[in-house]
Amino acid sequence: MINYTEKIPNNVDLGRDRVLQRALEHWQPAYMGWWYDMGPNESHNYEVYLRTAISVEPDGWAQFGYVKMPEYRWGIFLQPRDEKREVNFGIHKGQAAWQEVPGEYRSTLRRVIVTQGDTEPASVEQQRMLGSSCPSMYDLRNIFQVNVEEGRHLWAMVYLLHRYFGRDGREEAESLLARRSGDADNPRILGAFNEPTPDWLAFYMFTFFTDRDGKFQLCALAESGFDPLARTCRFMLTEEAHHMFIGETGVSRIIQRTCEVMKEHKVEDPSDVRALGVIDLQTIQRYLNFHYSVTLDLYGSDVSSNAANYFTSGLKGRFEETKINDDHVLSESLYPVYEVIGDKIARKEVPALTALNERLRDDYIREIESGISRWQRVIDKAGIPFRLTLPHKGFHRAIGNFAGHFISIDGEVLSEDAWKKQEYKWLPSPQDHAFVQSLMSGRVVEPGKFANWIAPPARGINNQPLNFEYVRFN
Amino acid sequence: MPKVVYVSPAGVAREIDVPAGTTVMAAALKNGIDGIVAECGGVCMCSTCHVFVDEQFFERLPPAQDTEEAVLEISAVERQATSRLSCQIKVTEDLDGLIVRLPEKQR
Repeated sequence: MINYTEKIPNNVDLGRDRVLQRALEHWQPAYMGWWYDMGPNESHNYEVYLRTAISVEPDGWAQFGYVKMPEYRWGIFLQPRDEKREVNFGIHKGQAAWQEVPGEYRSTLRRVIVTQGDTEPASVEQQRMLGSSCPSMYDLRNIFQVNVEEGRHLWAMVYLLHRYFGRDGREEAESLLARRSGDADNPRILGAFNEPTPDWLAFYMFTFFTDRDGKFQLCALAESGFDPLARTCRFMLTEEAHHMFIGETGVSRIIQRTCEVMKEHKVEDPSDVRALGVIDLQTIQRYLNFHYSVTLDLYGSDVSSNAANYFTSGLKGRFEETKINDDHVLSESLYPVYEVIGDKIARKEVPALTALNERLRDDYIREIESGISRWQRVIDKAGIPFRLTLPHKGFHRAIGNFAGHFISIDGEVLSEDAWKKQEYKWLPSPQDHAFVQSLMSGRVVEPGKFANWIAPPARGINNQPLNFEYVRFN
Repeated sequence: MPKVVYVSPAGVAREIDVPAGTTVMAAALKNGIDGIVAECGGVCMCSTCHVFVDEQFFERLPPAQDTEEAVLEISAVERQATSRLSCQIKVTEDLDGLIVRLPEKQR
C-alpha cells in the first residue's frame, strides 16, 4: 500500500479522501509505466537538480535538489480557495463559483479538461529523444524540468477527472496515458502536439510559442466558474512561466551566438554562417514561422459556437476576464475576424461571443510580438541588419477561416502552385532540418561547457554557477 | 507601518501602507495596483512584476541574486540600472516611503 500523503505533495487533503486514493492506486502505476516508456529516453537513473512544487506559498512553494525523475514527487496543488469567489461571466454571472460540477455542463467540462490534459504528456513524448543531443548540462536539466512539470500538469488534470467525474473521469484519465504523440492510430488530440520536436531549436521554439498557447488556455480556464478547475490552472501558471523563460532565453542564446560568429568572422551569407557551425538567422526565421503558425491553429476556429457556449455557460473566460471593463456577457458587442474572399483578405465584424477563440489568439499574438522584439534587441545590439518578423495571421493555417487557402508570409492570397514554389523560403526545408540536426549530433555534458551553436546563459539555475553539475549521470 | 509609493507610467502616484515582511509585489496585488502582473505568483520565474526603484532607495535594497538578474533579462520593457523584480523586495521599516515606478508594460 502506497502512502499517498507522503509520496504525493498535495493541498487537497488526499490522506482523507478514500475515493481519490482508490482511483490513484490504479492510475499511479499506469502513469509510472507511461513515464518509463515515454518519458525522457535513457534518463531514469540520472540524478537531476530539479525544482519540486511542495506547497502553494509564494515564499516556499518550490524545493530544489537532486532527484531521479521516476522518483519525482508529482504533487496536486490548487490555489487556495477564495470563499467569496463568484462566476464572473456568462449567464451565471454573480452566482457563487461552483465547487462541484454542474450536471448540465458535465460532459462539456470533461472535454475541456481532457483536451488540456492531453497536451501535457504529449509534449513529454515529443521531446523524449532530445537528451542525447543537448548543448549543455544546464540545458539538459532545463528540458527535464519542463518534462517533469508537464507530468505534474497531467496529474493536476487527472486529479480533476478522478475527483469530480467518477467512472467517466477514470476512463478518460486512462486514455490520457494511452494516446501517443504522432501515432497514426491513437494520436494526441491537438495537431501541434503530434508534430515532431526533432532538435533543440524546435524545442526552444515550441517552449516559447506552444507553451505560451498553454499559458493563454490556462489563463482562460483559470477564470472558470468551476472553482477547482480555476484554482488548479492558476497554480499551473506559476510553473508555465519558467517553461517560457527556458524557450525565450534558449532562442535568444542561439541568436546571440550566431550574431557573435557573424561579427567575429564578418560574414552574412547563410551558407558562410552555417560553415562556421552556427544556425543562420534565416533558418531561425523559418523555424519561427513554422512554430508560430502551427500554434495559432491551437486556438481553434475564428468563429466558434463551442467557444460561445463555454463562455455563456461560465466554463471558460477570456484572458484576464475580471480586468476587462464590459458586461462580461457579450450579448451586444462585436469583434473583427478575417476571411478570404476571392483573392483578398477581408475584415468582418461578428458577434464577440462567437469570436472568443480569435480574441484569445489576438491576446497571444500581442505577447508574442513583445517576445520577438526582445530577440530583435540581441540582433540590433550586434549591429546586424536583419529583422525578425511575424508571419501574417493567415499564413500556413490548417484551422479556421484561412484553412484551405494559400496565404503568403505577408498576407497575400496565392494559388496553391505559387505558394508551394515558395514554401521553403518561408518554412524549414528538409535540408534546414538536416543542417540543424547535423550540429546536434552528440551531447555536451561537461559542466560549464556549451555547444558551439548556442551562447551560455547569463546565469545558472537557482543561483547556482554555470559549471554546476546539474545532472549526475551515475 | 511602512509606506510604498507606486508610480504609474503616466506619473500617477499611489501610496499604500504595507506590513513589514510583505513583498512589494504582494502588496500591489492585494491593493489592486495596475501594472504588476506577477504571472508566476511571486517566485522569481517571470518578469511581470518588474519595477524601477527610485535611486535613493535602490542602494538600500539587498542586491539581486543571480536568478533575479537572469529573469530581468526577459522583461518586456528593457531593464535599467535600477530595475528589480518586486516579488524579491521585502518591505522593511527602513524602506518606509519606498518609491517604485511601473514600466509601460509587463508582457
